[in-house]
Amino acid sequence: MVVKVYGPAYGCPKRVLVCLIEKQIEFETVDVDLIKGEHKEPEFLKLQPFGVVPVIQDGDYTLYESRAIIRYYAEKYREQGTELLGKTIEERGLVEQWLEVEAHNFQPPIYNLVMNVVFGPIQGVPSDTKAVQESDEKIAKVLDIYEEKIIR
Amino acid sequence: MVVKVYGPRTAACPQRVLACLLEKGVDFEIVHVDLDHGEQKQPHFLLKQPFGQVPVVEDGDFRLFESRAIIRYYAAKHAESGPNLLGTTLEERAMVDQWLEVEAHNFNDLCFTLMLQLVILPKMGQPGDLALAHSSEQKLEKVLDVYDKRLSESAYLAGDTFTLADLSHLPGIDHLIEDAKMGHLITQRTNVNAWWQKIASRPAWIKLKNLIH
Repeated sequence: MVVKVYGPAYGCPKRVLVCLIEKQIEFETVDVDLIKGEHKEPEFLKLQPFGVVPVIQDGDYTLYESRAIIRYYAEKYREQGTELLGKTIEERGLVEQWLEVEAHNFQPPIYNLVMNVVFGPIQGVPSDTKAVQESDEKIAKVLDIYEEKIIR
Repeated sequence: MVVKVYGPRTAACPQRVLACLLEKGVDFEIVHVDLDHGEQKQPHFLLKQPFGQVPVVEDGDFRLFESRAIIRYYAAKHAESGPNLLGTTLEERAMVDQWLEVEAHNFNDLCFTLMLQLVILPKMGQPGDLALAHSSEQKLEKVLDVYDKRLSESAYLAGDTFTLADLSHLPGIDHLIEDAKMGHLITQRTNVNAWWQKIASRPAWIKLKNLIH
């Protein structure tokens, strides 16, 4: 049975799709039109009660939150595709650490930039230039730390 | 060797780690970090945690930061002792991760905004943004409505037993009730309230509350 991934082909659903491809897992995408607000409709809220994408359905099993989904598939298909979780408990701990860094330090300013620079204009919402500048500065600081980490 | 936990015992994120270590019976030592005076942004601390945040743990040569990574690590490392905080099957583990992510992305930011505007800024002598606090409260009401429905179907967030998903909420909800005086968010919801009473009366949490005061 093929994994169904609900959501558009950008943003958090893409995180799941990249993982499934790395692990050589077949999937099917089911589009959810965020611009039209489909994720807030009663039908979708039955699948994901917080009204956000993605959600997956794997037979009877439903799971949401992209970073929970990728952890699940990386573990479930340990034996195939790319090893994504480290070999020891300590290596797994470091994977979890940098997943959390991505979620709490990297994602928020990126999200602000994308919403203001990309989606705002599409929806006719004026861009918040202060938020853009602050987010730009924040992400630069985070990437400085990443740069140093990768050099080491 | 005793696990060193860097951070003030009064802050939510270190408390998340301490609660987990107490549940699993892991000995620890708290190394205070003075957030009020910006110690977390000092060079000596940035060597341990380059983003300038608490907590960090040092376990012999192994260093780890991000509270939700630390609790996952210790819950896995000590799977055989104390309560099972990660579920038994892969699918159960994924539900724990799902609700941990819900806490991190749907609950935590709203909880933190309320604490910042209603408690932390005023304590620093600055006015909080009451309009922002109010809109955060309204959003948090909607989130907790979803929790209430979930907890009408399930004894704990991820299933039948207490897991990291429930534990992760302890510090934030405690702060909301004790410091931000937002207890009505919990008590007005039958299932959320019953769940809160259960998890807040766990011996490990009570031990931590005694440690804090």
